[in-house]
Amino acid sequence: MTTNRVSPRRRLALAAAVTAWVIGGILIAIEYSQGAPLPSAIGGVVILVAYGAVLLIFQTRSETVRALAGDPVDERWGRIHEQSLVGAANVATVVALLGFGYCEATGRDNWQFALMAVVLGLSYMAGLVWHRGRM
Amino acid sequence: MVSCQASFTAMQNDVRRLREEKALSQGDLARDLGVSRQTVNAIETGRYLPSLPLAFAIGRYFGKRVEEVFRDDESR
Repeated sequence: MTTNRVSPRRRLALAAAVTAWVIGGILIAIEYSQGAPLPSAIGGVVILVAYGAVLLIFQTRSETVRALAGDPVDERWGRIHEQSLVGAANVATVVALLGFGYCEATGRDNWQFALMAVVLGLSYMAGLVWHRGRM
Repeated sequence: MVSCQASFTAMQNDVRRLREEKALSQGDLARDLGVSRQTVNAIETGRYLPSLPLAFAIGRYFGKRVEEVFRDDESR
């Protein structure tokens, strides 16, 4: 008897793709409910849908895509994944601080940037405490 | 005195020589160790320092102790 079980690797990529598609679907619903024409709402989420499709199609052929799907192929890819996350967090922190400063200087509403900086800072501190006890 | 800067110490290894002695390709070794061929290449060229478990696995694979495969500057 043949079984058609989904491998753990495929399941991870599927989960990442479905997450991207669900986020895309929610964005379409929000834009459409706010009066945007349907084609325009759909156009705005093409990138998310394409991202999910790339994960599914190429995850068995590309080590880079496997890392994007949260399934690094080995420990070196795991470290590449971690260092990329650190880089992305650094960029996000700089963007939050610069955005906050720019909005403050020009008198614009800056709560989004403040919230982003607070979330980044708090999650970093929580990570320090969490991992300190485990390594 | 034991140095506390091990993570910054340059390391050399004999993985390429040992692999070639066994007439293995990087792909063969990668498959047997459960890593990618690029990871084997990165270890051989010194661009990537493997974790202790992987270093032990490499040593065991070639029938050597870890320190016979990997050396730091101070062990020469």
